[in-house]
Amino acid sequence: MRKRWLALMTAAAMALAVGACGGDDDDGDANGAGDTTAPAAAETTTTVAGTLEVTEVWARNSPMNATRGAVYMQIANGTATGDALLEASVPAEVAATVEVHETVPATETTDTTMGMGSDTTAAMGTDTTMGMGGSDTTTPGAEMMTMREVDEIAIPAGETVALEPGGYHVMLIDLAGPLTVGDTIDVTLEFREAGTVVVEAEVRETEM
Amino acid sequence: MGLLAATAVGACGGGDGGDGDDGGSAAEAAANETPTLQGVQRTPPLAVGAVTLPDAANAGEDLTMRARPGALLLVYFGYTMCPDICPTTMSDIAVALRKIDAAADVDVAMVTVDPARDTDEVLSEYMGHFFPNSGHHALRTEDEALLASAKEAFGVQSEIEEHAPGTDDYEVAHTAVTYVVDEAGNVVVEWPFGISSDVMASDLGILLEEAA
Repeated sequence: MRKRWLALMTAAAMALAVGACGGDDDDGDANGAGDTTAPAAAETTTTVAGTLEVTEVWARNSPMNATRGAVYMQIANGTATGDALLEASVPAEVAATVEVHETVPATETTDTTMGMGSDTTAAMGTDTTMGMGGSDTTTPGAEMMTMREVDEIAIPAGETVALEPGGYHVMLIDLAGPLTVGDTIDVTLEFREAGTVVVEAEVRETEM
Repeated sequence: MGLLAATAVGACGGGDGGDGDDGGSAAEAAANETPTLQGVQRTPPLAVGAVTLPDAANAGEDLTMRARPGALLLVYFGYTMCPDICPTTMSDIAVALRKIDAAADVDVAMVTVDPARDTDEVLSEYMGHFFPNSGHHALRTEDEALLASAKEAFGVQSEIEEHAPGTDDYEVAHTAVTYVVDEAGNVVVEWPFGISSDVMASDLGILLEEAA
């Protein structure tokens, strides 16, 4: 009896997670016990609390020696309540640690170098030096980029937030092995309102 | 990402708002049109032809920052532990090369700003992973002065994040721009991070015609 319950929960979680990411992952249903779950069509958007949809989940394939990877996705909050992505995890055989990060200009991090950097995003060839010197030759409009861990990603009510290259991403740390095109990774997401959502990331070369 | 690209293009004044969808003009550029580069250009262009760095993908031999005759050399400063910007850039370049079938005419070099963790082997493998069909170079030096002068020539800044000695889990902030270098050692166009592979392909198409 417990097994069937588990199957139901898993199928429910899978059902709500499988957005447009091409997933008809038919491994979610226990044999024949399946039709008590929410509509299991690939496009389902039902969750317990409302409508939170996670789609386009993908990870970039990695070089052999890479120790880090990134997972991207689209999170659409169709509810009337703001939500937030709090954390993520993957099986240990994929990576040891998972963090949520944001790529940002280096001036936005707390350990910035000297210089209050108020003019770093000016477009017209402003001196973007961070005090490192030799900035005359820096490409106009370019600035140092870095990443920082974030405690949460807010998903405002009615909005879609993209985790995409150059922005937010779920970072996989200490990869157990390279990510190969065609692999799939189960990513468990924790949301403040929607709770636990498991999604399947496709490993691809690029988002296109 | 789009904002960054728009900013960069705005700065050079030559672009069209950076949507990169110029399909027609770049491809059919044959006789009468003057196709426009959409990346950032400077007058005079940066001259980097005097910069040389050891190439771990070529047994440590020095690579000089000039393209082979008839070809182009793309140079990027990054590090392999970077999970987002660097692989995205490498991947975008690879996609651009495939779009115009130019893998044989465009060499790609990455200079590591993190030589402590990016060993010769790691860096070479990284470049081989993204560019199996192009000449690729894994530029690495532990000589801080040499790296600093190379960075300065390109206007690159980088900074290793403060971390406890012995720990291995730090970020490296760095200027994220791809530099397109010609045979004379001039940077003919620059692509700040965020520029699409379509724009790269378009610019490369124009430049390769000029280089041929």
